Amino acid sequence: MDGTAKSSRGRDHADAPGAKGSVARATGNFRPTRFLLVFFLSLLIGFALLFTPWIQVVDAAFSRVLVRVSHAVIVGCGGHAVMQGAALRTPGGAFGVEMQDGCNGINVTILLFSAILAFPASWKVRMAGLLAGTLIIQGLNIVRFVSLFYIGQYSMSWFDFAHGYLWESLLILDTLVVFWVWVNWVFRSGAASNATP
Amino acid sequence: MPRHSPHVNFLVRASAALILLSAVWWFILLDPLVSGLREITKFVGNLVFERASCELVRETAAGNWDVCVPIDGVHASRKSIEFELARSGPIAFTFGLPVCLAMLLAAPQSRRAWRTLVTGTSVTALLETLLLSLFLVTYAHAVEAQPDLARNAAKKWFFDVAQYLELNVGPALAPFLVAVWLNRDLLWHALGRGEMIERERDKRGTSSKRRRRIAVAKPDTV
Repeated sequence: MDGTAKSSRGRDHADAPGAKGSVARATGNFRPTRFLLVFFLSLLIGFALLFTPWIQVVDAAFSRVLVRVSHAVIVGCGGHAVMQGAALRTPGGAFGVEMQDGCNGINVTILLFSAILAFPASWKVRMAGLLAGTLIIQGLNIVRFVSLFYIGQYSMSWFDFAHGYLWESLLILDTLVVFWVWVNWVFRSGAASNATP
Repeated sequence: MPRHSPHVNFLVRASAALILLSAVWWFILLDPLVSGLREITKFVGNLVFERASCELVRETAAGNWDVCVPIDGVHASRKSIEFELARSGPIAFTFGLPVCLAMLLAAPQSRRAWRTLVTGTSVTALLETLLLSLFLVTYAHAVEAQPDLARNAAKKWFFDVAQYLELNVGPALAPFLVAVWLNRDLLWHALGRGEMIERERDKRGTSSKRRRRIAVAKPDTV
């Protein structure tokens, strides 16, 4: 991927009716105001749903699945860990890390979902982006969880820093890049839709 | 040498900058930034609540914040809500600065990069202060409504969502949005439209040069 649009691909967007100015011509039907409006609305709805009791049950079950996968990764790589519900502990029980709300990557998945939903594209393309993006984000989240399990055994100060701030921002950054790669793919494949999101 | 995509290049640059700057923030800048945030929050609080009956923010020996929010609640006897906020609360509202700077430093640089950095720092600081003030007021209302929350599930849900958005989502997302808003080149290049934008700019640049040439040439010809 070279990150630039082939002129033949961009031709249909460049001539989009109603597009004004160079930026609008170059970006087809992408309208920043509409994008931001739908993005923030979806974000609000997504987080509002996340806190409903029935989604919380699914959320907790999903966290346990992620912990099970993380445990399998650690054991598969020759490490030692004991799984207790949504928590991973060292065999001696000296240290443990529990996957709570917000640690299972659902929040950044909602972010990606909102961004993809707000972008003008067909539903098929959106679903493909969402599926691939979720897999990438969750894969990275397992790396994050496993790394935190080891960082915590080494230093609690480093754990607080990595858990509360660094990994959180790295996940958002990755979500942003996943979204950009998807948008680039949408433009390159000519799948940008004229329909409103 | 293999040629990486601009997205991968940006991801590597931004991740490296984020790790470096957040380490500087955590080990060096944290205390002064939290102190600064406390003073700014006090200042904003004094502007909003002109006749505060208590000191709005006070730091405890453990580094937590004693917060007092004047409130016109249903309880006539109560004029303010006081609560202790763990140090991790205000810290979350200072992390936007290294994130915003990392994003801007990793973005394609323009000639006015320093101006963007200054604006990014100021706008992020302003947004984070406003989000913190909003969170403190929401938290105070949640404390006031505490007796009702056990019985009223909808009210509890509302406060949970509001506090999560103000404490977790807003401060984490704000620096990214500010960086993308300030550096349009970052946005368009990321969207894979960089080549087209540059072509448009070249076209505009050529025509404006031509216009300038004509403008300069006119006096000679007249």
